[in-house]
Amino acid sequence: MSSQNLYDEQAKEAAEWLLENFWVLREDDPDRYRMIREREQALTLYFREKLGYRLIVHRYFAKLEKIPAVPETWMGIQEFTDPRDYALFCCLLAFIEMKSVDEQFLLSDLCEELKSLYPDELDWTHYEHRKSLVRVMRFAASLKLVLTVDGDIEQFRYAETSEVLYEVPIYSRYFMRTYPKDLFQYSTLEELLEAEHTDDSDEQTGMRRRHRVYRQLFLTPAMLRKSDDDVDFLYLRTYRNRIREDIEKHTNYQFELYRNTAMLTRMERGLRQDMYPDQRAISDISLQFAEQLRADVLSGRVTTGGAGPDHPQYV
Amino acid sequence: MDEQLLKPIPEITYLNTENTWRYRAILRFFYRQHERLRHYLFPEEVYSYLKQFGAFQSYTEDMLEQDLQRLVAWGNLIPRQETGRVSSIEEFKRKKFRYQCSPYTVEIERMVHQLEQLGESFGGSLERTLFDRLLQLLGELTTRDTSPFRAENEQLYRVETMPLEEVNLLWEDLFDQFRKLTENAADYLAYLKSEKIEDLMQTEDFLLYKEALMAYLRNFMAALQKSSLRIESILLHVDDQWLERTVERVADYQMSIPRLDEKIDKEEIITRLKAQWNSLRYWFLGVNGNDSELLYMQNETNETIRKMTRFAQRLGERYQNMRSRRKDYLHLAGWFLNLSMEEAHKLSACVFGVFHTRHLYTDPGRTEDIDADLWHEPPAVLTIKPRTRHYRERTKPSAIEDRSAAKQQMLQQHLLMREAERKLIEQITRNDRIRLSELPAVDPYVRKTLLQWMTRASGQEDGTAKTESGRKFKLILLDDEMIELASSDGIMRMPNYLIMFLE
Repeated sequence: MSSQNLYDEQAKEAAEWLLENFWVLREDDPDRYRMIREREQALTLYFREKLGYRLIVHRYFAKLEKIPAVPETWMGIQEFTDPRDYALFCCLLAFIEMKSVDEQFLLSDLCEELKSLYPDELDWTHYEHRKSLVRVMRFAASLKLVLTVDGDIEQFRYAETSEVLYEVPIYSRYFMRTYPKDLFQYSTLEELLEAEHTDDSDEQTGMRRRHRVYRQLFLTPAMLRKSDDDVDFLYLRTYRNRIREDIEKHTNYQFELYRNTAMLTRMERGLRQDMYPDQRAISDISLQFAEQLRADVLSGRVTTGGAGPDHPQYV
Repeated sequence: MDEQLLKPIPEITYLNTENTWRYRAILRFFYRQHERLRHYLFPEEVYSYLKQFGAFQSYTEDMLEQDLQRLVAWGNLIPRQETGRVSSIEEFKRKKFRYQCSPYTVEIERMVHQLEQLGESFGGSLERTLFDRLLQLLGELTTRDTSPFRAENEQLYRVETMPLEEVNLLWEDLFDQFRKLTENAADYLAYLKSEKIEDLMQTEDFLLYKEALMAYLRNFMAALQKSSLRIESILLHVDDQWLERTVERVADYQMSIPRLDEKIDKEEIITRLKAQWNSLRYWFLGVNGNDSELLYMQNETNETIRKMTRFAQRLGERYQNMRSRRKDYLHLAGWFLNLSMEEAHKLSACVFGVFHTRHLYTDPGRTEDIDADLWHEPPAVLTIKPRTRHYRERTKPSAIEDRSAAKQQMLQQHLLMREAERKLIEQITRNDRIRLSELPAVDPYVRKTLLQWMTRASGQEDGTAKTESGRKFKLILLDDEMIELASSDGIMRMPNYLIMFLE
């Protein structure tokens, strides 16, 4: 068996990096990039088969396009606090699209251009608007969609005349995933999510169900049974042994299945992951609350509503 | 009548106007540089060139700026903003312009130049056959007469015995080819470098004829490399005597053409012919340590091929991935703007993908019963640490134990081991040398030590290093034979090394 096909510890580690990062840039992280590349075949196969995800290993980066089964609010760009941020971000992408790779541009040029691209009124003397752009540019720089050559975007918060020189790196061309049709032909989330399913297999069974279940398990803390005849849950129960074996062979998660809950959990805390509980005080408080609640439930002071499937049951 | 015939041509304005002398000096410089395949010039370069001449003593940079503007207005020069990458906002803002002379200007200057000298023709291609032809003519001109009746040192160049007419014809042909080659190549490369072509390269049409163009350039490069080496070698090997005799004979022929109107000086012709010859030499060999024009051309062609490859690659990528993404992005921008923040986050997850996953940290799963309710499972118990800044986990004070006896024992053991190793190494050392090829089967430990030494020594330039006990030694490779080093755990094949102790 060639090392390419081997799904070993290295592949597990690589898989985790792909899941936890938007992309792995070769320039910044050559070792991880190589690790992914060396296990490319095994990873591609696994992600395609179980999650229906495309692993892209390009000259400059490796990326796993992580489309959720059910989109949640925490899955967005957490740095953004207003829909305006998102809109500006898209306009920035449109602006970059017109630039050639390695081309440089000034913040002032961008500001001017954004005014005409933005679908609504933009006023750079407006503090909130400037702050919005600062968030967008900071986020774009963190993902390397732009490179800061000179200047500091933070200054823009205080003065609309402050200047920054940017450069367009090659990566910006690959940020957005591709769609079978032009994106402007879609207008609802459902259409977008549907777009990737090119096969016409039944939604309730087969590959699509497997992909949906795996995506839920891999991306989210827990999967809850929605009703008595929840087909996804039925799948989990029927194939639990195979799923457990598969997950433990390919990742460092353990698979847990209860009557109404399924989840992938971790025994050790990886620093890079978004795990609950974490080091923040809110985790401590919620843990204490959970303990109290639990004690109350077990002593019958509080009921869980008959533990029916209508009631989500987190610990 | 054709409309075009009736229009004035602003490009030739500079030839006959108030400051013609300035314009002509500037454009002649551009034209010369264009011939040298340098297409874009900075104002500073032009300025420092002009200042060499007495007539330009009181010329200022502002005047040059004005002149350049004027020439741009007439269409003689094409300004181009310097697009190189800069590292500061300041630099980017200081709009740096470079200028290129327009094709019209090149033509006009060439015509003027030819009017001065009476020359001809303008094509623009990389005729690779020109090189072969050039080589052939050069060969014919410089071959020695290999008549068997002459001793080797008496052999003459064939030009000595050729009819005058033939020598002249060869000479004229040679420089005809040379002129064609340089002019065509310069024009063609300038054409490829012009902004219009660069624009074209960014469109999809370019992909269609890219292959043909690249093949053309590659063939040209191959021909260039093949013949230029031989041309260079001929140029390097002909002696002065040959040149003297040849120009003499060509001059003789030209003198023999009856001319009614003018009297020509033979010396003048010879000087002109020699200058011709030198320009050929310089083109191929360079002069005074400067790079030859040939090298310029080679670099330019390479650069053009590289550039086209880059363009093609980008185009290809764009073609696959970027079908009208701009419209997509703007569509998304509007979409986002009409959503609540919660919905916007969800849309982001769908179009951009999820950035991280979320999971729970817990003890390993406890039950195999799939009907168990989570509420009834024992919880994972986590200890929460107080969140005060000065909190430290309590540590128990403990007595310091005396471990000197154990340390002493360890040391003894270590020394004993070292001594044993030393003895082993000593056993295989003869006359301060260890010949690896002559060693009997050795202990794996000995092999490890030897390999460690070799690694250490081969990292040094002079091949010496020190052993653990401080003895200096040198690692010597005896020959390129492979030897075998036997040991209880196998046989190692390795190069034939000798380790020699120096002290």
